[in-house]
Amino acid sequence: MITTPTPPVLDIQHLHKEFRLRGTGRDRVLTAVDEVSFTIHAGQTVALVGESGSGKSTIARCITRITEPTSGDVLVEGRSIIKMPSRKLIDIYRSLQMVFQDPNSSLDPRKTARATLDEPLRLHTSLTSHQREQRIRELLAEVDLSDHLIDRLPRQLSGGQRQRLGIARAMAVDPRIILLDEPTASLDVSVRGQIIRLLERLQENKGIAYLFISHDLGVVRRISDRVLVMYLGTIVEEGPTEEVFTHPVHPYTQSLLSAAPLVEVGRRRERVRLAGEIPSPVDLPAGCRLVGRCPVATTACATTEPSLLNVTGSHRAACPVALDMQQVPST
Amino acid sequence: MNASSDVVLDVKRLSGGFEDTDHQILPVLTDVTFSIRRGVSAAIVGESGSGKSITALSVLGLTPAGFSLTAGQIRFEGEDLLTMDPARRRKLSGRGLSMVFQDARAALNPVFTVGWQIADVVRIHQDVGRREARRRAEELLDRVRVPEPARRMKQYPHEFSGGMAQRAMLAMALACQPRLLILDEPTTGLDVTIQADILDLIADLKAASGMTTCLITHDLGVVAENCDQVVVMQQGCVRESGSCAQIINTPTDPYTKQLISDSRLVETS
Ligand SMILES: Nc1ncnc2c1ncn2[C@@H]1O[C@H](COP(=O)(O)OP(=O)(O)OP(=O)(O)O)[C@@H](O)[C@H]1O
Ligand SMILES: Nc1ncnc2c1ncn2[C@@H]1O[C@H](COP(=O)(O)OP(=O)(O)OP(=O)(O)O)[C@@H](O)[C@H]1O
Ligand code: SF4
Ligand SMILES: [Mg+2]
Ligand SMILES: [Mg+2]
Repeated sequence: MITTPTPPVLDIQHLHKEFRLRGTGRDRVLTAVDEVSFTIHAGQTVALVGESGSGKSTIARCITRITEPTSGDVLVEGRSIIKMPSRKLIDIYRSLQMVFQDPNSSLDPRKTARATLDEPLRLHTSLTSHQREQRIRELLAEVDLSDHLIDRLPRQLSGGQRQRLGIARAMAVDPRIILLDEPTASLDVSVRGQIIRLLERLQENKGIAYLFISHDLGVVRRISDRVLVMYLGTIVEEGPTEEVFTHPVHPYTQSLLSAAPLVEVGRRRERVRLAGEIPSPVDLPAGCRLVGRCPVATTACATTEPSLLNVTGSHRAACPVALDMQQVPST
Repeated sequence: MNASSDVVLDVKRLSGGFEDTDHQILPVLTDVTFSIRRGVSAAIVGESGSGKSITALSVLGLTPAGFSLTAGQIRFEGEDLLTMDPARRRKLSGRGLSMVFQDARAALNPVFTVGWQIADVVRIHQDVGRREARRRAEELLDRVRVPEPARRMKQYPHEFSGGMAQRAMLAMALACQPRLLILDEPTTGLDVTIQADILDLIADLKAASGMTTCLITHDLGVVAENCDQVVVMQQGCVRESGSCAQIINTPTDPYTKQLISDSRLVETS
């Protein structure tokens, strides 16, 4: 037996997050993330995809403890950070950085691009002010922001420029892992390509790992090693990226992959449409969460919640019905 | 009907920029010219920072502080927006022209519930009472595929996921029932299934009301599937504009060619 000498960079164990909703009468509970577990190793890129509102950002926010999880554990390089006092978290942020979905609310509106990038360098490195200035310019160049934007405030930047400033900030201190929440959402193809190449280069040179949250399946397919597919707070399918893209098993994954637009006038891919309403994360149904929208549901689906079953190797899907149809024995 | 009445939006040689600390104007838009015919689905595409949002905000009269136009014309349904009496222009915004902003969450007011904000817009533009406004607001949230609209009405913007906030903004813009709707990156951050549903919804509304739309996006896949007409921008200039088929299949401008070949690289199929 080979024993792995180093712990994963990120180890998520049974992460669970409930939000209490006030209301008339009794409060109700919204389960945003339901017992999610996964690991990310050094140099690995894991993508998190799935329906809007399925809990992707909440997972990232719990990992950085911007949101406190209800239960579960988060280990960064083997250290549990869930009970860590906030002053010790500063240390962790040297290894763990995040790029937010919404750059507006995560960038300090009173800080110029220079000050935004200078802060992590002051906190986490011993560079002199001259060296920091140099590093800041280097970082700006890496995300293709021209020098003349250095004294701009966030509101003086375009949407895509703000997003890139957030990416530069996360890279400033050479973290071990970066959580990227829709990092390329408002970038045009050429800049997006450049950011993707930058991420790949950093990974090659420095072994940085990424948790890559995106709805952009083209980019996900290109850069991730593994993909996790979420639906209403749980992982419904996970596996090596190519494997999941070429042999999606779960009906939700199949529908997701069939909806991507093509750059072809008038040509529309045949969409596997899911019928019905997206159910709510409040008062979750007893059985499979896709029941009611699923084209292949059976009566059993409404009563038992499916767990992740092996498809092949490390490819797993939470749908016994689809697995049976594949006639792959589940081990 | 003559040709000019067919044109909803006509932007001519629009130039402008931001004033820097020495009161110099740094140009952001240079001679931007394009027009959009009634009922079409137009798109503005182009690199980040090329002036797409500023162009749209100029049309709405909502450019950020420090920006000024130095030349050009913007005509909406034949009327010059820039020389128009401000009261008349305010009246046009909403029923005439409406916009979904790029940064949805920042455009929503954090201290009011989402339902209240949409109902407020409904009340102003559709001339109905509070109760009916709430009912219509809920219906709109449902149409933009926000699950459980009744409950979501009572929530604040920070309780929405990124994609939900975006759809709430869209519901608010639709509440105005505008004749021209500008959508600035309305589907970024939405997963593809919902993105496709939203685009279908917009197509349905267009078919029902004859609304004209102008989509600002970096996603050429979305443009190819949904738009009739495309304007390509780079560094504050219009590089090329024309029919979608022509621009995607036979682009003439080198920048457009590059943009299209780059897009095909990341395509999944
Ligand atoms: N502070 C909060 N209070 C109440 N509910 C919340 C809060 N934050 C998130 N939620 C809810 O948790 C669920 C998951 O939200 P989350 O932002 O994680 O989704 P997401 O997968 O990132 O979606 P998107 O793709 O739209 O960004 C949603 O139903 C959302 O409304
Ligand atoms: N308040 C401001 N002060 C100075 N310059 C600004 C300001 N707001 C925007 N700019 C600049 O104007 C240019 C055009 O911005 P605009 O927001 O229109 O770009 P865009 O095409 O929408 O880009 P994106 O795709 O990134 O959203 C950018 O280079 C931006 O840096
Ligand atoms: S378990 Fe049943 S309802 Fe759920 S995805 Fe599989 S077939 Fe569909
Ligand atoms: Mg999110
Ligand atoms: Mg913009």
